[in-house]
Amino acid sequence: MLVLGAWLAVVALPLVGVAPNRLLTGQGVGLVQVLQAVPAVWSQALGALAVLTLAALLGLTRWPEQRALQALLLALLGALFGVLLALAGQHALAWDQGSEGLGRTTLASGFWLGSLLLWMAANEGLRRLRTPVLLAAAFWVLWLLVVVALLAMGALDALSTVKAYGNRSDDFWRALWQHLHIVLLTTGLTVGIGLPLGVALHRRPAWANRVFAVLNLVQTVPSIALFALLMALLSLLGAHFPLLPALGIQGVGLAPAVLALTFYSLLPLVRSTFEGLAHLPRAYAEAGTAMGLSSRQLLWQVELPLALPVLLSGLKVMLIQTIGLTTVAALIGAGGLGSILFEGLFSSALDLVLLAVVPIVVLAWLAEALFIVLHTLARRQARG
Amino acid sequence: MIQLHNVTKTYGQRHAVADLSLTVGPGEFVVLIGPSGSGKSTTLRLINRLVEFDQGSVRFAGQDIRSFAPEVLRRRMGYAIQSVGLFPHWTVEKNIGTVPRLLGWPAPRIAARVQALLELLQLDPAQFARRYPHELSGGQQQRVGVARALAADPEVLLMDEPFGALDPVTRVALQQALKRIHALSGKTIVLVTHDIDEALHLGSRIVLFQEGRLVQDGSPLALLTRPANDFVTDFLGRSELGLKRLSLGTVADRLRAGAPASGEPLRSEANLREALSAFFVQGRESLPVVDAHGAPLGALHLHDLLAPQPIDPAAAGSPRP
Repeated sequence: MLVLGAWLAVVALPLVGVAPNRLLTGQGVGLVQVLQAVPAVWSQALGALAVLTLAALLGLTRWPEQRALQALLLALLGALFGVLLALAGQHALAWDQGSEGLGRTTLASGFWLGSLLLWMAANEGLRRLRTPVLLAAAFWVLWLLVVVALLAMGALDALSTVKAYGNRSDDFWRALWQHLHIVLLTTGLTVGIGLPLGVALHRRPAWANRVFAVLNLVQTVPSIALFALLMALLSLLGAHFPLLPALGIQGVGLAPAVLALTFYSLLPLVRSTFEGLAHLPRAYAEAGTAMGLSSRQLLWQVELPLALPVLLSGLKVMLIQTIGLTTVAALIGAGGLGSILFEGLFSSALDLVLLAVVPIVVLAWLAEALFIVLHTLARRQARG
Repeated sequence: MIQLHNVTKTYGQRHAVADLSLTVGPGEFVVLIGPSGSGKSTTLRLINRLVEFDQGSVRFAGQDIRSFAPEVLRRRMGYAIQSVGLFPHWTVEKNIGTVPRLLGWPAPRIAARVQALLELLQLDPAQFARRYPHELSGGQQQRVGVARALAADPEVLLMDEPFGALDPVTRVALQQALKRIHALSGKTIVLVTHDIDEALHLGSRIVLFQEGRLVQDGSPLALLTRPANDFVTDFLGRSELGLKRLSLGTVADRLRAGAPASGEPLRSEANLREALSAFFVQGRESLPVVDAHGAPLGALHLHDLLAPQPIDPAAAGSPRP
C-alpha cells in the first residue's frame, strides 16, 4: 500500500519546482516532464525499478513469508529513493544549462511525500522482517550514505539548497559545529547536574515533589522568554562581578544559551533518573545493603545499571529536545544552525531555511538512532 | 556470638522491640517466630544494622556492633531474604561472588568458592554458573540466594523468611539443604519465620515473639512440652500439640532392634508423625524398619510411640515470666 502510494505521489505531484531565478516564484515539474528533460537511461532505470518493485510486491502476496523477497524489496526501496534524488539533481543540471546558472531547482511535494512514504514502507518492512535493531540501524545508515554519496559525486550540485551551501559552505560548517558545541555543552552540564540531582531525590523522596514543581514550571516558560530573562540576569551579574565576563560568561552568546537549554533539559533527565531508580524492586537495595555494599557501590554497581534503560530514554528526549531548541539560541547570538535558519526566514530564502532544517532533522534522527541502539544494548545488560 | 541486651526500638509511639535480651551462641540454629508485627524481623535487622536500635546494646564477636563500620559488620554476616534479591544483570556466578569481591579476594579463589557453594546447594556449576537469575526457577533462585549469603564464609547467617515464597515441595527440599549445611559447617544461623512447622523442623532453639516482647525461648521440645502461657499453646497449634511432639522424634529413637514385623517398611530417619500416619494407612500395630540403604534394622511398635519422650535438660530452656 505504502509503496503504491509513494509511486502515486511521485507521478502525480511535481517532483521538483523550477524558477528562472531566485526572486520569481517557481512552478512545479512532474516526473514525466523531468524524464523528458534528462537522458533516456534514467527512464530505463526508473522503469526497471518500477517493474522490479511491482514484481516483488506481487511475489510477496503469493509468498508473504519469503524473507529474501522482503529484503529485496527493502533494497529496491532504497534504490528508488536514490534514483529519485539523483533524477532531481539531473533535472536541475539540465535546467541550469538552459538558464545560464541563474535558475533555481528545489525539491517539490512529490519528492518529499514520495520519500516519506518510501521511508514508512521501509520501516514497516524492517518491522515485518523482525530485523535486529543493529541491522536496521545499519540499513538506515546505508540510506543516509546514498545521499552523502550523491552529494559527494556532485550529482546534486545544481539543486538550489546545495547551491546555497556552495555559496555559504564556511558559514554552514561553522554553524553546524557551533550547534553541536552548544548541544554537547548542554548535555554535559545537564548530565553533570541532573544525574546527581535525580539520585539525591531518590535518596530523599520528600524533596522530589518540590523540585519537580520547579522544573515543570521552567518547562512551561517559552524558550525565547527564558533566553531573554537569562540575558538580562547574566548582564546584571556581569556588571557586578567583572570576573564573569572575563571568563566568557556574558549576557549574550554561549553562556545564556547553554544555561537556558540546561534548565529545559533537566526535567526529562532528572525525572527519568528518579523514576528509573524508584521503580527498581526494594529487594535489590535491601540485599545489596545487607551484604555490605556501600551506598556508592550499590548505586554504581546495581541501581544505575538496572535503571539504565529508563535513564537512556530520558537522555534521548533531552538530547533531541536540545538539538531542536538550540536553533532558537541563535536569536541571542549563540550561533548555530539557527543563525542560517533565521537569516533565510527574514530574507525569504527558502534554500537557506532548508540548509538549516535538513541538518537539524538529520541530527535529531541520528540521535534517535543512536539511542535505539544504546537502549537495546542496555536492555540486554539489565535482564530480568 | 551475638548478644542483645535490653534492646528497645520504637517507631513513633509503637514499640517494635521492647526491652529485649537474647544471646545466640556459636553454632546455634535459632529460629525467631511470632505473628506479623511481633518484632521478629526487626530483631534480625538490628543485628546487621539495617535497623538502628534506640536503647540497649548489641554485641557481635565480643564487640559493640556500633564500633564496626556498617559495611564491615555486614560483610561478616550472610543475609538471605524471602524475595531473594539476586541482581538481575549479573550471572549466578557473579551474584554469589558479591561479598568475596567486596573483600578483595583474588579471582581464582572466588571462582573456586562459587564452584564449591553451587555443589553444596546441589546446583551443577557447569549448568548454572553462567545463567542469569531470570532463567532459574524460584527454588533455584533461593538456592543461589543462600549460596550468596554463605559466599565469604560469614560467621553468622541471618535469614528473613527465606523459604516463605516457595511451594511446599521446594520449601521442604531447601529446609533439608539448610539443615545439612548447618550440620556440616556448624555455622551460627538466625532465621525468622512465621511457620511453626518450619521452626520445629529447623531450630535448635526457638524464640517466640508477641508484640515486640520475647514470650518464650527454648528448645522445640521445651516449647511443646512446657508452653509458657496460652498464647504459646495457641501459636503452636493447640489441637495438634501431640502430633507436633511426635514430629520431633525419629523412628530410630523407638526402634526395637532386630524385631520382626511385616508390612511396608519405615525408614529409620523418618519422624514419628510420619510413622503414625503409616500405621494408620496400613492398619497395623507394628512395621518393619530399614536404614537409608534399605537394609532391615528391626521393627517399630505403635504402642512405643506413647512412651514418654526423653527430655534433654540442657536443651530445654525455661519459660520467661
